[in-house]
Amino acid sequence: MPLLLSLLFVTKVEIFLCLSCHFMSLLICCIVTFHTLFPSLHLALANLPPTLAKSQVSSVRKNLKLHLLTLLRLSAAAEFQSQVTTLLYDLGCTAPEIARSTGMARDVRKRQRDDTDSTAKKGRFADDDEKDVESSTTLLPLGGKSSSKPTNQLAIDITAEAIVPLLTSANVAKLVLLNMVFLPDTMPASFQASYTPIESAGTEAQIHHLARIMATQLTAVGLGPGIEFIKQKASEDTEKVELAVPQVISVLDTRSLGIMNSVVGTGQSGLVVKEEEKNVSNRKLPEPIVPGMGRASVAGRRRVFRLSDVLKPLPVTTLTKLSEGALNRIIMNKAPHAGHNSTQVRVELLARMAARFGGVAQQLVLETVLGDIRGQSDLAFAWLYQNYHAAMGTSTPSGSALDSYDKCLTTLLLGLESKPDQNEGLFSRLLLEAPKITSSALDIVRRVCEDEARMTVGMSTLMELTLRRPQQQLQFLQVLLELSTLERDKVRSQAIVFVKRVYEKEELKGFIEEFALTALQNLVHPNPPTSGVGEDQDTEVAASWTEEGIKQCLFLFLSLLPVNHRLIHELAAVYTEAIADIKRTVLRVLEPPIRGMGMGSPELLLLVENCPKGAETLVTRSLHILTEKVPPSPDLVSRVRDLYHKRVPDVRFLIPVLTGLEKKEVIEALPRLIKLNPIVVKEVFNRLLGTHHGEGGISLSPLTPGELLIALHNIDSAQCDMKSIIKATSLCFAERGIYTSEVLAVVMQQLMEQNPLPVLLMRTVIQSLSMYPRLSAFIMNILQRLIIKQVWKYPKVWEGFIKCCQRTKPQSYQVLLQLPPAQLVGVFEKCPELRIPLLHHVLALTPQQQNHIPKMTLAVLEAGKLPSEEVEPEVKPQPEVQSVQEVSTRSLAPDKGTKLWLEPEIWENEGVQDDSANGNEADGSIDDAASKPEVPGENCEVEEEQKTEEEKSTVDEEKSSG
Amino acid sequence: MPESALRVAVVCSSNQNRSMETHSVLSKKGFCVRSFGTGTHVKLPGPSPDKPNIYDFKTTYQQMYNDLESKDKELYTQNGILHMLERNRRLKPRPERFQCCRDHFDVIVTCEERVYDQVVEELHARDEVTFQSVHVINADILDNHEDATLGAFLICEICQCIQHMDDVDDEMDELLQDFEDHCGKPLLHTVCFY
Repeated sequence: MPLLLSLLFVTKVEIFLCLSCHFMSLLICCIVTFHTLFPSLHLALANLPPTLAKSQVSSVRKNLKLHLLTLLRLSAAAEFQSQVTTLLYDLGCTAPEIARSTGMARDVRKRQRDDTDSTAKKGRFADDDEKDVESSTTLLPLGGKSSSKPTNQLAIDITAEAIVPLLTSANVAKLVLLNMVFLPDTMPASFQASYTPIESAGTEAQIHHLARIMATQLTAVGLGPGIEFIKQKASEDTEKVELAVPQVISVLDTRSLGIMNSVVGTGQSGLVVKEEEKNVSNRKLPEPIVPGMGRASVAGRRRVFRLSDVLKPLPVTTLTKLSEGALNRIIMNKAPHAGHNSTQVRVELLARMAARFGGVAQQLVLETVLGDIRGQSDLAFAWLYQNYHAAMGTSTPSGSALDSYDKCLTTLLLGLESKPDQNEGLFSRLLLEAPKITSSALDIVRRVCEDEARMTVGMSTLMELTLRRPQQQLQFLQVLLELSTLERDKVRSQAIVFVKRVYEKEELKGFIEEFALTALQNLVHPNPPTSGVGEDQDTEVAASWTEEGIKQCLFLFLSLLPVNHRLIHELAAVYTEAIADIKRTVLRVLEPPIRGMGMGSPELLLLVENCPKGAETLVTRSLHILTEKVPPSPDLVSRVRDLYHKRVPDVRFLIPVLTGLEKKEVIEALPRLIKLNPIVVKEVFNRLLGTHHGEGGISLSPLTPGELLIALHNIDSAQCDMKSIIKATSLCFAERGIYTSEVLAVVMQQLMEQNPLPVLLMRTVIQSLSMYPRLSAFIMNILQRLIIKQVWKYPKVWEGFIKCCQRTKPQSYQVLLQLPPAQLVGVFEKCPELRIPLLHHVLALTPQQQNHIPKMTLAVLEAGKLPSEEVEPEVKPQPEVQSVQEVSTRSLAPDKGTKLWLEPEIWENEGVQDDSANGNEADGSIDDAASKPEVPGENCEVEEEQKTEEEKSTVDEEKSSG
Repeated sequence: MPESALRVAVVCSSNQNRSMETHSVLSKKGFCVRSFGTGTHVKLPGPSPDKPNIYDFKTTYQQMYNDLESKDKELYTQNGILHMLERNRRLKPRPERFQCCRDHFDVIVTCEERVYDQVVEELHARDEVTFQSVHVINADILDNHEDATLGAFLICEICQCIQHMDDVDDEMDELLQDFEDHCGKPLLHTVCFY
């Protein structure tokens, strides 16, 4: 009955339901609970929830009345008729109404009264009944049964009897007056609502009722003559009863519990059973069912009650419909009730139903969750936990027991997956909070990870799982790692990012490295593994390495490199064994990881130091990458130097660290460097000149540009062929920004002071001139000084000298006139067209000036040869003047038709011949080269080229010819 | 339940005036409605209060009409009985007794407390089979033409509200509370099961 009393916040409808249920149960096993019912009904009536409105109260009372009237008609209720009647009066029932209901049961009641008077009779009936119902109760001793009237009921009766005579008007008035002080100031609403005037006030029945109510209360607190009587009686009976008590209780228990359970159904059974147990344990003596059943049997209902007799199973469709309806109502009832934790109850209930019943319930819950993911996440989790709990509860928590849990998890995940917009938070939360990740759930995660749109969510979840679930972490990590070797690079690179974050965990490093290494090892084979890394079908079919395939195997490993530098050795080992394609790819993708490692890395330095055979390119590439942006560290330089000197004398190793080397070393290496292929040479010069380093690069270079150019001029032609040197110098000249006229002037100045003169001196002079025409005065100065140095003793330089004079006329006339006559003849031999303009020049001079010119020279001028031979002046002065003017106007912008300088072709030819004769070994000395006859065809070819590209810079020419 | 049309029963004593008025209004609004009486006989006012016209439930409205017309056309035209019978005749052939109807409803509206008691008693007396719930609501309506019309509109309003509920069982209480405040009459309400 606390069930009724606890309905403090219930709605009217709920009360109806409770009443109906309860009365139904009462109708079947009324005797068992009757004695507890009435006090409870009294209380319930007085304590109707204050939340009910007046008309609701009246509805409830009406309902109660109806039920009581129904009760009254039952023969079994006859014993309680007076109590029921009083209640009915309280409820506002009229006497005729009651009379109508009781009429039919009256006869029975009469008979029953007789029965109750005779204990012996009752005992017999009870005994009979017991035999019918439950053979075990025959064990009850007769004496025990004779006292089996409900004890507290008995006590109440005795006390009530004692109270009745005391309820005189005076006593009652005193009582009322005494209790006045306890009344509240205002009338409680519930009292107001339920109060009905006592119709039968002052009658004998009313006094008895009142006495009984008081007796109930007194007995409850253990007062009154009834209790004493009972105690006394109990001590008397103890001996007899002792043996019987447990048995009866057990009988009582099993039977009443069984009945209650079956009648009230699963929902209420818990409460009712509890109540029943409490009753039993509270009682000092065994009791009520025996006499109750006895009376029932007298009333002619000796049939054993069996629930299955009165119930018929509902059709399955109805059952489904009903349960669905119930579920739906629970689902719809989202709004929390005031003062209730109904939300929590609702969630638990739904979760439990979904987990237990599956099928429709599951479907509905799933729909609910997916319908409002934010709001219903609690439900989702509760459901999941419930399933897990169920799985763990079974004796074998592995295998099939987890199936439903697995199904639940996957269904939820799939559901979330199919709703891509709002679920991301919940998706990972679900995974992170799920008690166990099953393999199919993992598959879903994997699928999400492979979807580019959502891979970040998937992978971060996976990573979190890896970090937070030590038990399964290797499983998660494996998936993540497999993702990091996928062929799709977006997914792969994302996965790698996450792997790297996991890699920070010390205990997982080994596993990751192992995996990366295995992937890397695949590259050793000439063909991709048939099973593929990841699921690359293409490589499998193609059976040869594709770029993608290589990257697949490579990227994870490379990304680990910057974190664990030691791995570089593994890479080197694989690299040496791999095929060319793979090598190429490796070199191409090497940059980020190497840059990530930095040149301070001891492992990298170690690699440089050891440089496994076959990995030279790898090392070089690494060096290049490292030094591309920053100057090399001394450490690195020294390793490279060691490597170069002791083990692999490949000058290419030096290139990256050029700027870190000593000046001397650079100059030593230069001849070898400039023989490399043009692109590399260009790179070398970029490094040396600091053109690619940006700020501060030049200052860091061991050589100033001027020094570099001078060093180039001083390269021993035994070490290097002239062609390479020329190319190298032209590379210098190409850097106009660095080789300004000032720098060049200094260079020429220094070169000129050397002894012997560098072969390429005049070439440089001429080139400087063509680049910076304003240097001509300075160059005239140089030419004059060359005459002093007897330039004609150096055939190459001499040629260049003549050419230079030719290009710089008319300024060079002055210089030419200073040549000794023999050399002047030589000039004219080489270049006959110079003679006439020079003669004109001299003729145009003032007599004083002419006087300064030696006679011999004049003679040479006029004859074109030394005075021993007769030379006639062939040309008339008039047109020659014109031509002088012409020439002078275009002296600095040479005409196409004129062959303006010779030396490039000469030297070019030498280079070409060298190349063709001796490969790239520059053993041919200049003298050798000069002594070789010129090859006309090649000469012409070069000439042609020069003609077409005269206006372009020499560098370009060199490039095209090289 | 809310998906299908709401099945409404309107019950008064004789299934003539109040229930039929409501029946007419509700059927015009498109409800699936039926009307009943709970009395043992169909009583219609006669020439004086102590001499009512008594028919049994088998008599059609048409027959009553003809009978009364032949008795005193003037009187019954004046007090509107003929007019009422004429309307009833168009709605259904004859009055129906609630106790004889085994059909299930979602809502049963009664027009006076006595009828309410009878309906609830009847429903309790039957054996529950499907345990489908039915709401029994009582709204007191005086047995005259004007009150019948007013009552019919009130009931119609209630039914419309019920029809739009998501969870009738849950929201019924509040709705009736609101209507009580709104119309000033106490409404009785209970839930029974078929």
